[in-house]
Amino acid sequence: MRSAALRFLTAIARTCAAGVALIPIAVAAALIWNLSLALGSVPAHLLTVDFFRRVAFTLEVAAGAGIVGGGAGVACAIAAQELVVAPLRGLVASAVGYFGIMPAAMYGWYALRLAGPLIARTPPSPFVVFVASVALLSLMALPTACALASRALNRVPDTVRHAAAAAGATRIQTTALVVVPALRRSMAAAAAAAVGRAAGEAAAMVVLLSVLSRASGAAHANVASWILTRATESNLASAPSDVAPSALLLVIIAAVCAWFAAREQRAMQWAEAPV
Amino acid sequence: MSARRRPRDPSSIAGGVAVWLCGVGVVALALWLIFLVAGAGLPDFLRTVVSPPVAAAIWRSAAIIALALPVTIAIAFFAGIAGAEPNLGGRTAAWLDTMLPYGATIPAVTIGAATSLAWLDGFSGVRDLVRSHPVLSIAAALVVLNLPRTTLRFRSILRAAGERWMTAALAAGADALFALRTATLRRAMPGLVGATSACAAQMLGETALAAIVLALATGGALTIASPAPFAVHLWMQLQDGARIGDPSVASQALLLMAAILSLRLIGELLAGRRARLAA
Repeated sequence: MRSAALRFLTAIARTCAAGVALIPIAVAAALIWNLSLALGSVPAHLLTVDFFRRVAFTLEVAAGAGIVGGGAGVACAIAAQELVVAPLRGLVASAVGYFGIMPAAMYGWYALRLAGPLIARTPPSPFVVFVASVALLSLMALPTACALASRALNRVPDTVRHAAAAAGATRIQTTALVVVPALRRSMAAAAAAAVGRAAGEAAAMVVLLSVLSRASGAAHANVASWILTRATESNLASAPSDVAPSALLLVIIAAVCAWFAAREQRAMQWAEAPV
Repeated sequence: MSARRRPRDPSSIAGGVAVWLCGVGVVALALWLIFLVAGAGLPDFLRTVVSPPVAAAIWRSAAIIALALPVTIAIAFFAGIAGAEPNLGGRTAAWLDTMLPYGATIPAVTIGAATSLAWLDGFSGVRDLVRSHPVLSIAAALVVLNLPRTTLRFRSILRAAGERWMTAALAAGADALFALRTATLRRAMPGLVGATSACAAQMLGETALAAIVLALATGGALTIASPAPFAVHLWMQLQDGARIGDPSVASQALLLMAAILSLRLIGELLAGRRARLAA
């Protein structure tokens, strides 16, 4: 028979778990509810050129960051886990960890510090805005991809590496011909998670894009930075309905990326119970 | 045919070198960025730290973390136990498994927007509460943001620490509570301490969500004079871009980075000490 303490712990644990599990549903429900309250006016907000421009810019820079930042994150994971010597391994992990814990305001400071002198000479073209945004988001998304790729690499049994070494393969050959091909989909999932992370970044992008917009004379914004600017520069209570569609779009992008990443992590070769 | 007999694939060597260079490049970039902010921020550091607006922003951040962290850790701890131990979690554990990846990847700005819209649509009493207690409101929003991420970390740590030990303890006849206390928690404690420290660092650095809730609480556009936590205070000074040459801003950036790095370092030191004690 279960003790009273155990029953109490079970009840508390289940209640807390249910509360945490409800959070994404509650966020989506709040946005959908707000959208439905202003259903009549929403199509007008959705069908503006600016909205589509923001969505396109968000997808472009997020995809760019997924390729560059996701690729670099996967490469860092492979370098740290498979290729570099032990002292350097810790350094690579610490460097990636530094990018992971740095707050958005710090990224904003770096973006201003580095982009400021460059755009002072010539007004930035749309391509420069794209490259600067991708560079910033790549750094921010790199730790996400690195963490997922490291997790996938950790699941490769050592016996696989031993078998490759016994067959005469060098460390690079083992990595390039055995480990990485087996984890291709997991690496793609890591890049997808980087896309999700990049699409939702707001604070650092507001800093970067506000400076670039002023220098180029044209307004640039991704969806997340627009929501943040909209919410902090004017009273959200005056016209809240125009924020909900954009926020809901970010939820959808994040959910799709998370679904893909979770599916690939579960379905990978040598997968054990999800950790 | 063994790998030794195969002709060596030049692309694998080039790929290996590229990966190695990428790892070294990331290290060099991180070091350069640290030196950049340290070089720009150190000269004016002490004067900036004791200046009244910065000190007030730091106190606000400390108050927010003091309010939000215990609630987040307590709920995430119990939810993590439910997720890690199917005996305790039951069907809720499976539901948590399904929803956690989504909860942990929702952007902060979206949670800020949803929370704001929910409060705007909510009761007038809630709106008044938000207006009169901005620090409390930001803390509540940070709890919502950090719960899934911290639960994910706690669940991973508890699973990794206790799986075999829990099975062994249950097989030896211990009840789930005893096995959890003696086998899982003792081994997981270093990781839990580290995750708690990481959560505090995350709360200290959170900008977008805090800015949105603060704007809602103050009922209009944010300004430098708004009662903002430290990260938002720094972010608002960066927004116009005009103050990038100001050494005070660089000092604040350095202070924020040092505070977050210190939190992580303290967590890792405590985790290491606890690990030695638990061994």
